[in-house]
Amino acid sequence: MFDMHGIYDNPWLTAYALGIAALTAIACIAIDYIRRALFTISIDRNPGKWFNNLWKLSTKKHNHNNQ
Amino acid sequence: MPQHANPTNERTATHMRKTRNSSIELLRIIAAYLIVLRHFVGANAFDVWTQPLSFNKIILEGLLYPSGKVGVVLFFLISAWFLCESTTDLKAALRRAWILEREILFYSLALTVIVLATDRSLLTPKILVSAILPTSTDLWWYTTSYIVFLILCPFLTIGLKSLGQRTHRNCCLASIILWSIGGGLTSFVSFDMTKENVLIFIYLYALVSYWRWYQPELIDRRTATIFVILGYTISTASVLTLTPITLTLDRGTHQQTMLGQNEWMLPVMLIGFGMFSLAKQHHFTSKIVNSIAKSTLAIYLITVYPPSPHSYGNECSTCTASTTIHGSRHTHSA
Repeated sequence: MFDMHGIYDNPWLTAYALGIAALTAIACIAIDYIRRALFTISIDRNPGKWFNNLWKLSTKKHNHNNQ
Repeated sequence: MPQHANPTNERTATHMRKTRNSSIELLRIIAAYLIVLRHFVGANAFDVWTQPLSFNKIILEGLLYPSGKVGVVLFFLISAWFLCESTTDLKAALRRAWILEREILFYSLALTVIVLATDRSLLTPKILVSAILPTSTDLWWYTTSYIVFLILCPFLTIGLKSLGQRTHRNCCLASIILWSIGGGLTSFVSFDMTKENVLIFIYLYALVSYWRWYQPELIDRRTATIFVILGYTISTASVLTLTPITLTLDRGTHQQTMLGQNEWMLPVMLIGFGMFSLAKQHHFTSKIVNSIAKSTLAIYLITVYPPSPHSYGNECSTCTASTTIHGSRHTHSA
């Protein structure tokens, strides 16, 4: 993913490393904003709905077995 | 009149609880950035460990490389600080795990599809299974260990609370002596602490919960600053000392950075706790910072995805060979 061949002895290597890492982080954040937008229009419309249904189902079964 | 009886103060307190402290959120962003910086050194096609001592080598090995592990400690400390605020039940813990699992599943599937479309040679049967079951197959160690921790957290919190201050303090001291002093100064003494494991989080949780419950002002600004400076000084000094030795012996070159190899190593713990303490003592609010901080996990998931060429998950063969000492293997992982 990263390669510092040819730049290792450069006095600006630290600045280069900090810059490349910052660009990588910014790119990942930008990708995640797309993911968040997708989630907002899909599974986040009713946050926790699937989990609550699953929880209700499992606790109902558990209570039924205990009776 | 007690403060909480004032409706205005009550509203302000509720607002403060609801609004995240951007100082902590900024620290979350810094933590993710530090992980990428470690990646720049550890997952680089250029092997810095075989190079002779130089200014650049000291910066890369002594400062940037251990900072990735500091990032992991910070990520966890931030979560743990709020998790131990109150006791929760298993349902709340599983709900948290489920919310996290959705994001993990999204990235495991999306990244696998991208790899499938670009370079199929990188795909293995294990990666394909992991795309569907990322957490249970340990595709990313941090998220797997964190989800296991979340499930155990309600029970751990009750257990630690029931210890009481004195016993909890003794437990923390014993753990620090075992793992961050005994096992935190060399790579070949570990006292059974295992890398990339939930035990690391249990250890950190025991410390952070004591800190929060009994002595929240334990680390003041001056001490925190000393912790950070001391941590980086020890790390840099170890690189300065170990580089000539390992290069002369022509073996174990990766031991040059052994003090930055794992989360529980003394310098990493000092820097992590110091930085967290500094951040929590500072308060400001920024919607932009808080919004960006919500995307920090993605930085970890994308850059550490195992099939990526030279990613952390893809340790190079020379690293494995050169770091096997006394049966304890050390690889570049975040």
